[in-house]
Amino acid sequence: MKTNKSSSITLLVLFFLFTNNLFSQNEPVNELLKEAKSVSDTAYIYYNRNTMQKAHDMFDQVYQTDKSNIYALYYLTYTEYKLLEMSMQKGNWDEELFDKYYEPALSKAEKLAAEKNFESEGKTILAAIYMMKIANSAMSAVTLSPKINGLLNEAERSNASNPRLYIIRGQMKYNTPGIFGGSYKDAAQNFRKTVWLFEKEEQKDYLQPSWGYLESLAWLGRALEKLENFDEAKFIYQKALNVAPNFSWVKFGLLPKLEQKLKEKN
Amino acid sequence: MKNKFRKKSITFLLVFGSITIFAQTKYTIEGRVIDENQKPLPYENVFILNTADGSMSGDDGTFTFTTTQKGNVTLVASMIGYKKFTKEIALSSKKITVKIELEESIVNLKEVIVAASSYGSEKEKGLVISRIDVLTTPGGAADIFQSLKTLPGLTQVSESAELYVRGGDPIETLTMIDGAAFYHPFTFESAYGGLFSNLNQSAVKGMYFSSGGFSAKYGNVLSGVLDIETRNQPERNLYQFGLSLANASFSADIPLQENKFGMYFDIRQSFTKPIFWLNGGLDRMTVSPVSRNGTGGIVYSYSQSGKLKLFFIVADDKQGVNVDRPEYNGTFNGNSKNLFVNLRNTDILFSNLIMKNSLAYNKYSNQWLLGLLDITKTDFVYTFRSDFELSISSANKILWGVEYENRDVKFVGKIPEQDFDIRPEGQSTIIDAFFKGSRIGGYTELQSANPFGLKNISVSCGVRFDRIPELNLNWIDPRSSLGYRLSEKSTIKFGWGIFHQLPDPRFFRAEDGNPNLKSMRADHYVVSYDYSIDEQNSFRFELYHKNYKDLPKENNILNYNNSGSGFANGVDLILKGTLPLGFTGWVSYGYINTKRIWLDYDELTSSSFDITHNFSLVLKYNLAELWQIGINAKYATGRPYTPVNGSIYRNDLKLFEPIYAPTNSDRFPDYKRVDLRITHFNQIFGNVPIVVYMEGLNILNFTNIFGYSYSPDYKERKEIKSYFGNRMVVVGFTFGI
Repeated sequence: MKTNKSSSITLLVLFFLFTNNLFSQNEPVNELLKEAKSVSDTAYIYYNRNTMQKAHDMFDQVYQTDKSNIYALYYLTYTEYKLLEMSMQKGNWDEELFDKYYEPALSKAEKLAAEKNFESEGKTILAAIYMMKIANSAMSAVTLSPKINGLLNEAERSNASNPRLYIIRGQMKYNTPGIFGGSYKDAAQNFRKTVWLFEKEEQKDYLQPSWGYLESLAWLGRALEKLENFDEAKFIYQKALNVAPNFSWVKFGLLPKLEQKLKEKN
Repeated sequence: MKNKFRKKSITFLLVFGSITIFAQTKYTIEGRVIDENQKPLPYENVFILNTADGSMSGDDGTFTFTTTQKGNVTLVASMIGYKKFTKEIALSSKKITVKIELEESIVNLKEVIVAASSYGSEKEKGLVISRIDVLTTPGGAADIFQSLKTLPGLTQVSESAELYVRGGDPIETLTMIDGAAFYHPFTFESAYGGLFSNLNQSAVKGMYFSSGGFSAKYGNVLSGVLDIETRNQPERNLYQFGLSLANASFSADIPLQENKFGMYFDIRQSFTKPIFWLNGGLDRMTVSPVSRNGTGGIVYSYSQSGKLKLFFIVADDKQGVNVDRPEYNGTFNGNSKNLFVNLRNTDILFSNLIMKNSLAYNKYSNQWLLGLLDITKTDFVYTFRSDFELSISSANKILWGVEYENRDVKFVGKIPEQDFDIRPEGQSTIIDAFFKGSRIGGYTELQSANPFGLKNISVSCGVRFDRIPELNLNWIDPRSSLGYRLSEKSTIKFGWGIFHQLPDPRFFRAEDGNPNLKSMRADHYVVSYDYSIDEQNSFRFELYHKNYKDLPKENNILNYNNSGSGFANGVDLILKGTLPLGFTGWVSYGYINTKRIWLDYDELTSSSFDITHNFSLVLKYNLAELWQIGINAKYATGRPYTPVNGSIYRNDLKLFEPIYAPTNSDRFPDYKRVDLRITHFNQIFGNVPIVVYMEGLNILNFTNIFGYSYSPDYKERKEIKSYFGNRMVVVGFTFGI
């Protein structure tokens, strides 16, 4: 079934690539990218490794056919970043998966970061991949943290309205021990800024990078919990579920745990 | 029929249901979130409690959202550092406008004003020098003091860890740990100064360093302050073991009750024999310098804001070095013992008043033996200190505090009668001196941002009073600073203040000192320009003038009086952050011109701390993800010294007496040194972190001189290098579980 679907996608892509009309050349490719993007969004909501892998493969097919397609490159890198994250899922650690995608994701992100129009997004995703390395091997924080901070500063200089760079900065602030410059307060401020930027952002093109809204809400809630601001954390989790009722991280993890904590407190 | 009825029923229900849904009333809640100064608070969530209805305030503080809730609801807005806003509102009209004014509530430790010449572990304290900077500074042996010496305004007088701040003597810099003065923070204290600090960096939570113009809360200090805050209870178990050619260490973090009670300690033993054996220099030692050090803390959080912290340092060391003097070749033997215990209590009262109390005890003793010199110094210090910070609004804060210090210093032994005759058979003076001194101090300071509505301005005005009852001596020190924000990224600051400090206790000895000496005085004037490129990159330029008065000066009748004076003028520059080609680190330069007339100086002369040019370059480069290379390059003008011009033979003593040239009339050659460090960070056995490092000290093998030894007739001289003057290699590792 999968093979049939993949073959038809490839055939479709090839067919349209061989036509001369630019419009008719891009349209199905974009449709495919949109479909793959939708799959990757679903994969994140359900936090499902296999679905994310499927989205990855769809982006890869487009990318293999047209290596100049910047969206294909971007989303391929994004799915690899998410697969790195998912490879370290609690109780389901997959070192092989991490090793499989770490280097390829890095080289793609470096390529993206060098693209003039994608500099901010590229540097942000490059920083995010380095952050995954820290999560995998804490000792690399000493060398990679300055690199990540430098990349995020450059991403900010390139486009200060890129909400994703503040998610990564916030996660760095959240996960870095206080004595090395981490701070839940600074983390919360970064996540708040992300949420604000997402909420005022108007997406004109579906293929423009848009990931991170749900993620920033979940992280903001976590930071607020650390700051013992439980009412606001609960509001934020509920808000996330309003946007995506099946957002599994919040639905089955963060919100029930917070409610349990509040129950015990009362 | 039945089916028809069912269809009708379904249609009815659908229509009815839709009507019900459409009939649900939507209420719009809108407003603005501001602080007490009417400043908008952006990115603030305003929401109805226990619902997902709410929205975030924008850049101008405004918010708007709709809800379908009914009746009375609770509107909530909260922001870190502000009191939580809750308001019952009745959803009666379709549009409800709410003004949310948040009051500042949680007082935090950050200062309203960052004064000039300030460096800190957090950006609120000044230009950031973090723990990671300390850890990775090559050649610094992860020592806080050695790392601070790469900052501008700190002069490279010797390789000791002592801090010579803007032309001041090291005793002019106060080290405080959790509010308690710590007068002997070094190991291996000798004539060349202490080599390393007793305080392990792993115990440090935060630090603040100032090279001038600091707050009125610091008393009895002329030049600089290093204020260290130790760690709180650890969050998780951690055991670390380290071994290098120079030392072995073991540390543990033990949480005993989650977020409430815990302890940590670090014990280490240094043994320099392997590095001297490997790198040369062992022949100079009769006892290779060794030290033992234990640092630890027990922390108990008795409430959400209240904390009790017991912190201790226990250390000892010994060394034996061959010394060639014109009149005598012998061995200098030195040893010291140090115990510091501090009980600290911090709490927040009435939601806007921070209270910090500390009660500390420090017992230090050292012994120096060389020829006939046999002197033991003991220093007992008891201190009590209580500090308060009251936040009266989001922009205004009042600080006040009191302190009491009791210091008993004892010198027992014998010293040479003539400084050129240290032979065991030479003439000596018996010393049995005891100096008891107590000091009572108090201060108050007002810190205000945007005073009288003046935008971009911050002001701090303070005054402190100190009294020495035994000497019937009082002094009052007013201090102030003014900051003006030129733009989002740049600030200009001015600092001024009067600073007093008692001279070293040995000057008060009746026999060869003066028990009626007054305190020394320094007036600071600082102008500083800070440019913060971004969170990681900053630049600072400072001009300063320091005017010394009432310094101890030799006097034929009184032994010493307070007629000494002097000055220090200088420029400090530092650029810190990301440097070209992917390097990170900092480059600093300090220029100073300082002269004094004090002690036995006959005229205004370059002091021994007048190091005209000081340059430091600390660069770190990440070779790969797990490898880092660092370089610390230093250049400093040679230190002034008093050369020997000739000698006369003393028949009575059967030795030559040196004839000195004018005081500090010559300089040692310029100081140059490059240290290199390669660090590898990795994990073994799954997730056990390991750090392996190799450090090359003075890799270019520059000859740096800190003295001369002379032939018996003073006609020939030889250079004296410091212990760690030769090129040396140190390798080591630490790992933790």
